[in-house]
Amino acid sequence: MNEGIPSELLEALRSMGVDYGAPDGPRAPTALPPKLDSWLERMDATHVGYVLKRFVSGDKAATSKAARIGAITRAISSKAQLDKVIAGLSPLEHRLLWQVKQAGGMLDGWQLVAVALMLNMDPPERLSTSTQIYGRPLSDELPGRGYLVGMLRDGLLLPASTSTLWSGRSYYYDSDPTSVVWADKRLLEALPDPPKREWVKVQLNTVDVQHIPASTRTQFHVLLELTETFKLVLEEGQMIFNKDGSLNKAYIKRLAKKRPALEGTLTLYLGLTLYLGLMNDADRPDLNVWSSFRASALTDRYEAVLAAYIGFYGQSGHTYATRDPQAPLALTQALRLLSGPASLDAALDALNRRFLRYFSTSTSHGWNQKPSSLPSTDAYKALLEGDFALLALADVVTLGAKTGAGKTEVSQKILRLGAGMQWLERETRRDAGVVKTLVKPPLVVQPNFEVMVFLELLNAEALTALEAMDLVRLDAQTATYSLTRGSVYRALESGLTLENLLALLQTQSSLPPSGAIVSTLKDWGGRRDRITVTGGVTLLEFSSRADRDARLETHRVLTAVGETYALTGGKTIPKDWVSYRYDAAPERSLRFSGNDLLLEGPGDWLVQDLLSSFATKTALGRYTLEMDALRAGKLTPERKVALEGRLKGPFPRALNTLIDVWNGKQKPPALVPTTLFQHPQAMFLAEHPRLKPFLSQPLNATTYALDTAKVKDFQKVLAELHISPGTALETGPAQSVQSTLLENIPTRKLRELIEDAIGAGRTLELKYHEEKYAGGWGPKTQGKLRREKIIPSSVVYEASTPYFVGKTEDGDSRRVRIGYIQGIAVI
Amino acid sequence: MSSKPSKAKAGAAPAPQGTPKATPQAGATPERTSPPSAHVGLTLLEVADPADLRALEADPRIRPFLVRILSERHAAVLPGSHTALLEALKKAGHTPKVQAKV
Repeated sequence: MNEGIPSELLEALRSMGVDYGAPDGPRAPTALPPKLDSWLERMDATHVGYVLKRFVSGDKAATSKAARIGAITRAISSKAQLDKVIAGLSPLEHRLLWQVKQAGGMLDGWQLVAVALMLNMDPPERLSTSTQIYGRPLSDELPGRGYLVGMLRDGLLLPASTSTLWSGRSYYYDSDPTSVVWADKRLLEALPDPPKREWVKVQLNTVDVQHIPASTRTQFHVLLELTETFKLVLEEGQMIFNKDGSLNKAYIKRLAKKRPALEGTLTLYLGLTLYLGLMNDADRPDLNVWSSFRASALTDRYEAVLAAYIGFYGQSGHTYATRDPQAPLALTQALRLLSGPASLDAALDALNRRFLRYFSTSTSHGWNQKPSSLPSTDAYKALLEGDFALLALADVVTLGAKTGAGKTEVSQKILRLGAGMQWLERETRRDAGVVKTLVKPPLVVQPNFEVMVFLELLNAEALTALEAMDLVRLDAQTATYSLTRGSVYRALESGLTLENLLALLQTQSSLPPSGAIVSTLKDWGGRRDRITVTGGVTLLEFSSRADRDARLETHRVLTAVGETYALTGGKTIPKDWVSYRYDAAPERSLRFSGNDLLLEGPGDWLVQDLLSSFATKTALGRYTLEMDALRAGKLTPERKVALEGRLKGPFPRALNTLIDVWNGKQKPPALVPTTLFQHPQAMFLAEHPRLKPFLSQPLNATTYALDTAKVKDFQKVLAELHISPGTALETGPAQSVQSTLLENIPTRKLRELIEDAIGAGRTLELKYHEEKYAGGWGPKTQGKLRREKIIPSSVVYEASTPYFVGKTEDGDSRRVRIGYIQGIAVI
Repeated sequence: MSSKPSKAKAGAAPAPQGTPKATPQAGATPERTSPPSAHVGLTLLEVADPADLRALEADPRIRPFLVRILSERHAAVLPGSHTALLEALKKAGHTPKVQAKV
């Protein structure tokens, strides 16, 4: 059943403890277990004594640690001695060691706990808390630990590291204690199969739910939705994360817009995609892993999804912080002990007592203690009704009763095994030849390029064919897909060949695709072959064709391109060649000098292309900008970014503004005849009710522009107020910054001024004190006095203290406490 | 490195607004030093039919991304524009085959 599944996935499955096979099902060992010998050195003498007792019973001669280790090493290499050890194993120990053997020598300890519980095997006697394992005292923090701790003490099981969850109390420096355990290879090889045992179902009062409709979620929905999610990622070409590692919300929103049917589930499915290893380190889809994944059987894919979910759940950080990371693993195993549909509360209560409580890592109940109170079942309920329902692992049915008012009230919730769990068990029996299923084509390719899918008949090949289609509708029993040029292109780009696709449509459709569909698909496939884009190539440029051809004769790896070029697969470039790298940060070979660009060296192709498009060479290494070319838009945004990446120093701001005006990114400047009103306290005068209607256009704190048509009226008002305006205007350096700043403005007025400036897109000239922190949580006080121009963007509050946020003209961020502003001017 | 790249060959569509003046043509020998030079990390566009490249050159949506025409079937893509070119090709109705590396 595991053929085609990548080894990493298998390992992940095992290490995460998901095992849907029957308890006696075969598994090919793949991992190499370590030797007990290497662990003996890490044990103290008392610990070695316990191992000696187990492996060399009756040997009293060895007293020193070294002698004891020698005796154990000899015993584990002796077949006869190992047989004695095996004969002395308890049924529980034999079964758990065999389980490790079946898993290839390594297994998550939680899986062993699950096996013991599912087989209803009693834990061994509790060890004394004075016992130390690998130098650590035992603790009662893990209720399930009792099943393994004796085997770890006696060397039957070996922890994956001394920082293990099982061996004893964890210390603060145990950042991530592992729960994985091993066993010695020689011991496992000598271990015979244990007597067969059946899982013991939990006895419950089951309820008859025949009248309740069948579950609408199946394993096929899960697989189809996961495939749809990965198709979306393929279309996007990447996954986008925030700085904290979480998925970008805008990205998820964009995907949901493309496939509304997946809205609400995308975060989970994208997480599963990550945990299935379908993304590479650069957050791009990994087609090799996807190819392996889709080559595997549906049961394997579904199992892999469930294993990925357990990993995703355990690593979801704060989202599930209040939940036990072992909850999904424990619950998937516990559900299999249900004897039939039962009341949700009763089932959870029984499963909790019998199974779930052993998986808790957050309670302090001892493994053989009667707990005074069981862990809360709320988390399990939420899991069953949420993720488990979505993944078709469980089905919680709400039964209602009609009341007199015609309303329906929830009377009972029934828990039953999800369609996916039932299917896995059925498929396991089918693999063993117990159950036969009728094989029918699951698809119907219709002449209008729509494809009907019967979910119950779905198989791996049909699911692969669906990758070349877009989901139109997904119902409980059927799905409708559509073949489009884009969907076929996406599938071909993800590694499916046209021949494969045509063959799959022929074999998986009960109605073979029409000739028109086949020819259209071939046409779409052929179109793809017309243009090929290859990234990361190395191209050699020669001075002449003769040079190039001469090189071709001696270097067979070269491929001629055009007259003077050759492609090479090699990466080593001879030292005397000029080499340009386009896959690294560009060399800053250009700089502005007035209206000219100066070029150092020959420049790469991009530099040459840039210069040829909007500059004229006037001297060696000097290029004069052609304003007409720039005005005509020859410096496209992409090229401007490329140019800035090759510039020493900034792009001239005036030229930048001109280009923006030319290409319409900014409106043209205004030239308006006007009359100015200026006074050092003009801003206060503008508050006068008679003057206010005329002074609505402040140029800065001291100067206002007047509407030319209203100048006479304004003069009249000034005369009425007995003000005789002068005609000398203070401009330029003579008007110092100091004199233009308004000082002693109340905080509320300052805030209004700043908000007005934000609304008008104006810049502020400020004199303000920085805010100084006196210690981490200490009071904030006034710090250094600064004077600078800031473009404000928003006013924010911390508690009730107003601040404004903005940027300096150099682009540095500022957060200024408004109450600390000493002087202000709106410019 | 003394001369600018040569102009587009006769018959090609006139350069549209917002695009480079001319795409250097096959065999053109623009500014170049005498020892061979290596251009590492380029994106190469290859077409099955020379007519396709001519059509791409004439398309104002695609042309800005072609930094140099290498042959009648090959063009070098403007460095840093790999993804933008693919987007532009798809928007223009093409379905290019994308390869990671030669």
